[in-house]
Amino acid sequence: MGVDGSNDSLQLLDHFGSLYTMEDYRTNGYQVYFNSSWMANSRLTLHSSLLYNWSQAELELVDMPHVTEEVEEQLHHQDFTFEEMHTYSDLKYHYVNVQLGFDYQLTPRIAWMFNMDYSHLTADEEYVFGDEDGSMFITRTGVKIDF
Amino acid sequence: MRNAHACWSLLICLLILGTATVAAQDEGMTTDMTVWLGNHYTSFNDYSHKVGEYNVGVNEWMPEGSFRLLHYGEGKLFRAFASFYDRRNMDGDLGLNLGDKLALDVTYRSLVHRPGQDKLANIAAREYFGQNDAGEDQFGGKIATHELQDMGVDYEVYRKEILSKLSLMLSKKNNIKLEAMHRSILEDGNEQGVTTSHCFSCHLVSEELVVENRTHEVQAGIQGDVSDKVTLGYEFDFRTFKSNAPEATRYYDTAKHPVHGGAGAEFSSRVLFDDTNLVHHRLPETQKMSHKLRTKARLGKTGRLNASFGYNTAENKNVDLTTESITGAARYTATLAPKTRIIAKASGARIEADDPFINIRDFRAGRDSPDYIQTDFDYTRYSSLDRTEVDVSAELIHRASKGLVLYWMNALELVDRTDYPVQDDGIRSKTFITQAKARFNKMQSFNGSVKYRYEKTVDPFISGRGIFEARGREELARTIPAGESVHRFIYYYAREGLRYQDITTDPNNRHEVEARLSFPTASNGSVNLSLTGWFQNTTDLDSLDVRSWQIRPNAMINLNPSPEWMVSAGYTMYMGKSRGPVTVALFDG
Repeated sequence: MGVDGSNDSLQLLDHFGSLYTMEDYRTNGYQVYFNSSWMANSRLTLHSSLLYNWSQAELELVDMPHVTEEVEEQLHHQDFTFEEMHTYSDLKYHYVNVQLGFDYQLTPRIAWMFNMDYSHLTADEEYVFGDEDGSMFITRTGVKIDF
Repeated sequence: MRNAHACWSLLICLLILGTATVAAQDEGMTTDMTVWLGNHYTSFNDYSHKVGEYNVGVNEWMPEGSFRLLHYGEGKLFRAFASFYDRRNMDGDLGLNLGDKLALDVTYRSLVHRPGQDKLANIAAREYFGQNDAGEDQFGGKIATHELQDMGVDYEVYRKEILSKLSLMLSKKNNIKLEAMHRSILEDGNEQGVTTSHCFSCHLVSEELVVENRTHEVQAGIQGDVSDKVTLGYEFDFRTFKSNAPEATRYYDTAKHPVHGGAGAEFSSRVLFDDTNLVHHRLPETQKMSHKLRTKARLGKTGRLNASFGYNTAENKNVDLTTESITGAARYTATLAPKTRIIAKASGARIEADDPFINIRDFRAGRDSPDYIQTDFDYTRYSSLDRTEVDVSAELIHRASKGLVLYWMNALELVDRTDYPVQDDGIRSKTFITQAKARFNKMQSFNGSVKYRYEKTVDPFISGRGIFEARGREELARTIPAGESVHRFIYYYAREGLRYQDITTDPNNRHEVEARLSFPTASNGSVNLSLTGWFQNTTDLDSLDVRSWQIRPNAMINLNPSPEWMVSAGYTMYMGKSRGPVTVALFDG
């Protein structure tokens, strides 16, 4: 049927609505941690912690319905297979954080504290920000005084 | 801002010195004070904006410190805390509590956020026709391009928040209390702004924007006992938001054919603007105000009633648009039997937003070829915010035995949208909720809970503009009025009529489960296990098989193998899947 009620579909040349399909988007994440504090003697306490986080998000392969012959004829130069489309938004991160430190009681009211904090992030799938792999290392030291 | 920091530092020092002086003279009081003086060294390797998203450390030793003071006794408490990590990470807290006469608390918090830069690298595409007889690639006119005018810029947004709270007893006779609150949030820095020219060029441009956002809020209220059983209160809240950043402007491309550069007049007639500099990323200057009346009353031997009634306005001052709402809420608790209680809740709101008339340039104005149409797109925008909301629920709580408590809750949530998407039209969504929970506690052995919740939504929200196009040009033909049919081209706006109008991605079934278990171990340790999960889908509108689920088990253990050694460990897993539509338009030109 044409736009004016006649059987004149040429009036609508090159317009075919849209294709759609239902796809799953998966998100998974795992995190483990371990903290320990050990008082080695009356002056020295050792601290340690470990954190590992893995997270992933991905779309399943986009499997569009078959384009009919009529559409294929007029849109033959277009690709409706979408073999790469599901990878556009893939995310996969590994994050590790390790902390080691100690408190040493210099006097009953003064303690010396030292801590090392190392974090590393790996992004297996490059997102819109480019390569996000990176690490950070922080060393802290100082004294705590109780009055 | 440095002046503000200096003022805060001076104020904190004066209060600390003053308090320390008073503390030294105050008998019967205890004073604890701790000072931390240190420094830190930060080094980054490779990309720092993700692993150090909230850290601006530098490769040199930087000083840091903190101060904590507690002065307490005889029902009085004064506390002071100040922490300096770097100039963008500072915290402070001053608190004074004189029993039920006065409570004062002032806090300051700051942090920095370093978002990464979207390189827009995925915005580079061009229609491909294939190869000609000579084996050369042939390209079409559909192109997406991008341009980073601020490549390599490090974005940082520095957020500071000042929060003050005061509670002052004006009269003990009727327990009359004055309560006041002030909060300011200041955000300064720079961020990425991406603008897009119209689809004739699909030209995305990234540039650096200045951030200078200011949010201020004040709240004041008074409450008092009007009888032995009834307390009344009034509360006023006023909140403003404004950006002081200079306006960002951008040149929007000249409308023309993206390949050969012709047909400019025709392209230009189809867009609202082109070949011009315009302001973009302007944040609205907003103002919110609310008045609330509250009451608490004892009803009968065991009944307790809390109720409130409010009137709120929100205004966008840039465009003179206002939303008004009237709200009410009540909560009633009572003991029905020696081991059974009921909690009944009811709340409602009526929200109405202005309906602005949108007056825009006619589509294809000045183009008078008889085969081409001209269209007036002016319309009145009726807001989906216009609605009446009613929530009611009742929960029964029964202590079945010494270590077992049972809960059963039923609720109804009603959202009645009016004048959407057109006047006198609307959608009334109803959600029925039932929830059962059991909490058990075996002293010295274990304790935990299990919960199940089910939500059923009837007539979920449906977008008035449809979601995406149906398949088939015959469908499209039926959407075009006969009087506009004498033309060869189908424009984008005409395709809106082809969209599915009666489908939704909102769920109408939702199941939730939750289980928790804790038990002690030898040597004063403990184990905590939990499992939460939900599943939701749409069954009423079966054209889209929308469904999603999540499951989240968690295990945590705390051990004290010896008096000198403490260990804790945990494992959390998260899994989820969400099914939704992926769609692509079928057209050529």
